[in-house]
Amino acid sequence: MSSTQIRAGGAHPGTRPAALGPGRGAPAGLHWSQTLPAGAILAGLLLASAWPGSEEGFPLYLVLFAVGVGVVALARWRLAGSDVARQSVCDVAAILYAILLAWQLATAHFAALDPMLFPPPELTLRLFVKELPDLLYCLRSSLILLVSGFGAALALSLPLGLYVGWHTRLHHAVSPFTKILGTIPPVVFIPYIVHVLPSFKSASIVVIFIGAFWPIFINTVAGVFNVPKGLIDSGRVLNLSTRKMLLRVVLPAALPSICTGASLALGFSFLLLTAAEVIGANSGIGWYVHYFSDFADYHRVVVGIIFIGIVVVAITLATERLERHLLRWRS
Amino acid sequence: MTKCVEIENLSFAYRGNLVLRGVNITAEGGDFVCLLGPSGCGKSTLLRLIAGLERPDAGSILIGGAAVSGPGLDRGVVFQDYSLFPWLTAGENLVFALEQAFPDRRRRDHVEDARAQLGRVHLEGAFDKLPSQLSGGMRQRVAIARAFATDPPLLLMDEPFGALDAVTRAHLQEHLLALWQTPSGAAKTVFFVTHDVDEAILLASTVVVLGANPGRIRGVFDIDVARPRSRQSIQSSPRYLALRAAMVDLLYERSDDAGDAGTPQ
Ligand SMILES: Nc1ncnc2c1ncn2[C@@H]1O[C@H](COP(=O)(O)OP(=O)(O)OP(=O)(O)O)[C@@H](O)[C@H]1O
Ligand SMILES: [Mg+2]
Repeated sequence: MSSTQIRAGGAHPGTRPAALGPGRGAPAGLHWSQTLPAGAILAGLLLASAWPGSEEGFPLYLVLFAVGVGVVALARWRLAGSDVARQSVCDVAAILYAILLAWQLATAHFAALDPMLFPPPELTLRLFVKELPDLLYCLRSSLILLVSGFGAALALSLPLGLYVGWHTRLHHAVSPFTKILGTIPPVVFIPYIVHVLPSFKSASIVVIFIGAFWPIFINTVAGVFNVPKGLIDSGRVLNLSTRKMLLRVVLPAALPSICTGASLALGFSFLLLTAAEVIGANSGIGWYVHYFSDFADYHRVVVGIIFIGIVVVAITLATERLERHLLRWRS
Repeated sequence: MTKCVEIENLSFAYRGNLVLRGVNITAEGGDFVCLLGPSGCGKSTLLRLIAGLERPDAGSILIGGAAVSGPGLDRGVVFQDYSLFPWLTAGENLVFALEQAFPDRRRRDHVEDARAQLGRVHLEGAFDKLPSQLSGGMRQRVAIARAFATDPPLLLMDEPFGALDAVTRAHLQEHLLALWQTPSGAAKTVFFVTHDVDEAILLASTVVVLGANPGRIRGVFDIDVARPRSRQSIQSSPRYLALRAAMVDLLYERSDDAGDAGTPQ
């Protein structure tokens, strides 16, 4: 740190910097009563597990899973920064337990649902663990397609969008085409591209590319176009080169819009990925679900769906976090 | 004294809509020129023309004898808002400007310089704060520090205190005068837009009163009141009262009735 700092002294009492550091005291709302609903449902779940229900015996995986969730939730509850966050940790845990309990009761205890279509939680968890290596392998091939297609779309549409948005004449010339091309639902390209391109892999990458390109491009162009003129003037009076203006003023100013486009594009990419995999893949998470439903192995279908759900949630959380980090300057 | 800014017979229109007509202003090095006028008379436009953000339709603007051909680092600009980049911390905003002005220096020197400049407006603790974490007055102080940091001979300020409360405004006027009067700042020429008569008289060495429709000069006043001027003492001086009365007269006279004839230059 610099040693040349000049102290303000007491001359400007109203303008002295506020104390730094989080200064967080003891959490205010850390009451054990918050955990009661979740705890009660968990107790019910454990009780239902101990009760001899079906021929499966004691549901070890279910109990371990429920307890594991409880440990994680308890840790997050202790560490949460605000009362709202603490409450929502408890609520989420309670809802998750309620779902597990209802699922357990409906399948293992009362056999209210067709066991072919609805495996009990214990069976599902066990199968999930058993299938995990295969699922991860499928995830790997899916992610290769997703990252290639989405990455290429991002790498191309972002600079192109910046350039087109910045040059007003080009923007006006291009916008009728983007309006038409961008609004064609990319799903309609799938059968065509699958036939045109030599391999399934290249075809699905191109489909994902098309699906991801337009939302990012359109939102980047719009973001650039809507950058407040005052910010651009601030850059101009600093005599920025076009390159610096685009990278250090226009890009950050357009970033909120770009992020919107990118998360839209990521959602499309996932949709297109699974749709393409259903059509022509021999690996991948979409393929997994499709493959086993052809064999009427609905237990594995359920496991696959849950796995996809977890993957989507993980990707969404990661991108949300990234977006929050990139846009942390917005108040 | 050298002629720093020479504006000759300047006219400007926005899409055929005449905003400024026949404006002549000459400022010498070290002058503090306040542009005073009603809303919409073209004060901001005049400043943007000097900044090189707009091109004159007729007439010329010379800075240090050379015609303005675009924005440049010889002019520091402070806008009413949007001066700072919201994604950069206060310190990084200064560093960014310093990098632009002195590309040969090392980043470490820029950081140190930025800290020192923030210290001059008593904001050394705000180096790592984002603009959104600062109050409006603090933001404007950072913007002023940034304008001074690159050490331009000419400073252009468009109602920098317009959005602030009276007390903060008074503080910032003092900050600005202190910066302008320091040894390193003494040679700086300032063009300062305001529509506050008292602010103009407190700060300026010359006040240019503009009228609207189209924007033109209605009067030029040399403020020959001794410095340092204090808000309290100045208001009892007869010279101040006379200047104030004359300016208020010009400002509130219905300028569009004045027509073309007899515009004082
Ligand atoms: N970008 C623009 N396009 C078209 N007309 C403009 C533009 N900016 C300003 N004008 C017009 O130019 C005239 C002068 O505007 P300007 O902003 O210079 O006034 P001002 O004296 O700074 O007013 P204020 O005190 O309200 O800031 C106004 O009539 C305004 O309508
Ligand atoms: Mg203005």
